Amino acid sequence: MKVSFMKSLQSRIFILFIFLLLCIQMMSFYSTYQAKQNSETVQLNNKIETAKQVFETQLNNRNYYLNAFAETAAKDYGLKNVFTEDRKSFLLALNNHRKRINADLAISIKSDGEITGQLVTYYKNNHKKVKVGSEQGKSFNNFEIFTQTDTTELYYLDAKIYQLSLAPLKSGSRIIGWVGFGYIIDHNLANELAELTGVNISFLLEDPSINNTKEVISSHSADEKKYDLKSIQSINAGNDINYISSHFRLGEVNSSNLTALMFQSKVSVLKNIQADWQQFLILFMFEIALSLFGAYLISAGITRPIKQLIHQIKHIGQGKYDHDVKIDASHELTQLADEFNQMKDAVVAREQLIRHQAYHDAITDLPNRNYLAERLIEYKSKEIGFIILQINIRRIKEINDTLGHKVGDKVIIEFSNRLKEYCLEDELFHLGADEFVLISQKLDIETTMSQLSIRLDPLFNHDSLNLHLQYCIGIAQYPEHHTDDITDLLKRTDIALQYAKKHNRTYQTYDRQFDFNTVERLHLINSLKTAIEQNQLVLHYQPKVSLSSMQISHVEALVRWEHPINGLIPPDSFISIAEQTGQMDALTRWVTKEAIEQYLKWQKLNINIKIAINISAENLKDKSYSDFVIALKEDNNIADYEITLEVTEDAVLSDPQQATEILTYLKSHGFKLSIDDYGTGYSSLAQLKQLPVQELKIDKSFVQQLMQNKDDQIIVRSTIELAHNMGLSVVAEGIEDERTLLWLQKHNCELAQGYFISRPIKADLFQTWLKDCAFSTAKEGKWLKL
Amino acid sequence: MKYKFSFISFLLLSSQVLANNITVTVLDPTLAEIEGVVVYLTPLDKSSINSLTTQTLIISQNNKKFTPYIAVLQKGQKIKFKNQDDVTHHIYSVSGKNRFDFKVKAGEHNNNIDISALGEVAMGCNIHDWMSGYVLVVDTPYFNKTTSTGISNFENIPAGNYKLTIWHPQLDINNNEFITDVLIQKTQNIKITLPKSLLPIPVQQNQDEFDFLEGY
Repeated sequence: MKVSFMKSLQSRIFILFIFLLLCIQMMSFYSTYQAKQNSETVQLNNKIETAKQVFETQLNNRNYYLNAFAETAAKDYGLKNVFTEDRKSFLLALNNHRKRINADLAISIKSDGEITGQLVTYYKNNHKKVKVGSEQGKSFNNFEIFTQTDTTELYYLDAKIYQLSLAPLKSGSRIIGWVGFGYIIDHNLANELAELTGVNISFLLEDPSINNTKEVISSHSADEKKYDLKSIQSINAGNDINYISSHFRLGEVNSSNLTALMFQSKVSVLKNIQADWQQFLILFMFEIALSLFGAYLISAGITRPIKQLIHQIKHIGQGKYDHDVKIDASHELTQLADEFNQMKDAVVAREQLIRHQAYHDAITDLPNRNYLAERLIEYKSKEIGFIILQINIRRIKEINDTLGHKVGDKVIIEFSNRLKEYCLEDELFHLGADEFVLISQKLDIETTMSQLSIRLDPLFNHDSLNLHLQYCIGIAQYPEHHTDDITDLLKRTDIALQYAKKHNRTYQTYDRQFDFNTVERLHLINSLKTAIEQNQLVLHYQPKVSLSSMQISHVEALVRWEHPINGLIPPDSFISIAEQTGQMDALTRWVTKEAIEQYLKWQKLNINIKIAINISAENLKDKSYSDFVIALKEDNNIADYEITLEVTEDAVLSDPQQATEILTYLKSHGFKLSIDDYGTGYSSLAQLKQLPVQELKIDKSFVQQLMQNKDDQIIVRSTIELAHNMGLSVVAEGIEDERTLLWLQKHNCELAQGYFISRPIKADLFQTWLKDCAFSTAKEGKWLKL
Repeated sequence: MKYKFSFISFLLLSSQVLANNITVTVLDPTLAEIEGVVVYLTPLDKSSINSLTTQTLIISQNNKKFTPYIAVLQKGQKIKFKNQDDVTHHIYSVSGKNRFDFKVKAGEHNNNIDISALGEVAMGCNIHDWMSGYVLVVDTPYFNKTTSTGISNFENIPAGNYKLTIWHPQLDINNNEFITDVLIQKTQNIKITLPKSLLPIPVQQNQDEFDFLEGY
């Protein structure tokens, strides 16, 4: 049995496990990933914040240095002394101070705002040099902003930005001027801070009035990526989600804001995660593989005993009960296995009972029809000869009806016991009710029957009631009566049995002839119609001798069926079929037409023979056949009484009034009418008297053993006398010897018909026969040579 | 910026030529009297200056302060720096035309400094940064500083046209001075209301906590 994958318990458990494991794995993977990402982001944020603090501290430090140093320098007497005296000396002194803190800018301003000294550094061949600034001698911008605060302010000079701190140069408390020192804000600073903080640092000079970044001073990229103005702007605006950034406003210069931007790409973080990711994925895959293996083991562990159970139960299902269901599993499944074993035992017991019941009769406990069928097949395979007897207890129904079923059953049991006593070596079967079958390898039927009768014939005493057990037996022989199907033997015994019953015989051996009323009959019903159409029917003619002249004066047309497969079928077999299937009228018409044509042929050949045609009750129901035959007669100008229509007593008696009417009609048109098979029916002479017939045909059963049977002689003689008295001529059928013929002649029977004269023969044969026979025709006047 | 003349009232008490007593009252814009501002009258006719203050101007360094904080010196008048402290002072002036510097040891004095140029001498001490003192060199014998009630009295001022100057280093107007012309014919009171209040006067006090030296 193929089970779909999903319906298998193992697969379900397996899939459930996989599903759960995958869920857990996914969840843990996701949460780990998230946590990692979060922690990285937090780290990054922290880093940026730290960077901001470091940055601020650094800037403040620079501020502090500049402030403190400017203050110190301003108090230097030497500097004061030369402040207004000697510019060159002053600049040198100023530069000396500048060098001490490695400032990038040194400046001195008079109290009226004029720049008296300005020293700036620059690089030449990678060497730091000092030169006089471009603003020396000019007035100082934003003078008030610088002089009124202590803090460092941003100073813009020659496209460079400086952190600048001024300190007053005093004479006593009188401010006579200012000196200041500044550090440049440039790439070097950005780089230094970037190195210190580990993040990218850019200084952005933004013009708030046009909301645009004029200039960017950036550190070397910490992540080896070039940042152009546009990308820096994007990061600064917070538009680039791939970056974490922080701002720090340094101040205003030249009416632009100077902002420090600290940023770091998240990509570098993700890079870290990605590096871990592969490791993580490998771990994940390993876990999955391990989980799958575990899930498989678990699901297999759960389902293995179930599979064992299924396997063993399948065995039981196939009828193999020899092994108990045994599994090595959990308590529940072991219990289940035990239950199965109990069930199996119960099934075995029941099956045996059912099997016994199936193969044995309930009343007699004898093997039944099923068993018989099996035994017959076994016999066939052994290829040994045997006889098979179908025994029927007669009148069981009557016993049941009168004495009750109990007595009926007792009779059956007694009968079966007697049979059992007889057939110690033979096999006995009880097919049910009053039917028994006996298979014997004693092939002699006569002996078997005589021995059986010894056992079965004694009276059966029941409640002081003596019952005579009557029975009837049909016998078939193997292999004589065998067909392809062995069970056909039983059909044949049945046919033989029916025959025996019908003919009141104790037993009857099967004969193939019996079959005609059975299966082939059905076949014939179907093919009769085509037989008529296709001229498979043929007329045979049996001559009748006119006993007074010993001339062949009449013939009886008898229909025969030359079946292409079954051969010649006797009329007894198919006429009754034709009667029952309403084809009788057609059959009679065909016969009539055919017979009249033959009559006309013979007439032409100067063979002057009257012809007799059998008609049936069907033809007497209305005038249609009468009109048909009258028309034929008149069309062919056939003389009156040339054609005899033979009708049985039974045909007339079904509706005597109508029959009489039709017969009268026919008689009036010159037909001779004859009563066929007289003596077999139950017609009274009184009834016959009413009929417009001219002839009586004595049935052959009275004639065939006429010479041996005195009673028959009495019947025939008196019938002839009676007929004559009623003005009817007499025809005797079934004459099989000369003595009978002569006896009939002596007793004035008009016509004789029988095998002694001739069997029914075909028209052409008849002509030949007529030439050679011992009788003469009326025309030839040939005498019987005795 | 042009000078604005404040409201000035003249009270003519006498018509005596040589005995004109002038009282100048200096008020700040809130009309509070201002103490310690220099007030001096410079005759427009220079030839009328015929007297020299003979008294030597003594600037003491006392308790690491210039005392007085502000002193007025008539051109040609002697000046003497007197160190009353127990530490050396290195007194200097690096602005203007009167520049000098010298050291004066504890208890010693210096009267060799020649201050001849008119105008302000802003003095400091190179050792004690907080020390600050001013000497205003004027070309008139009629100078004074206001009292605690903001009054400055001049006696026996010859009649004539004068330039009245109010000066103070913390007067935050041009050259720290307020000038008005006055005609002096008699004893009169002059009330001057300054356009600005004085800036805070620097405290000559070491502002550091480093004062353990103070005691020795």
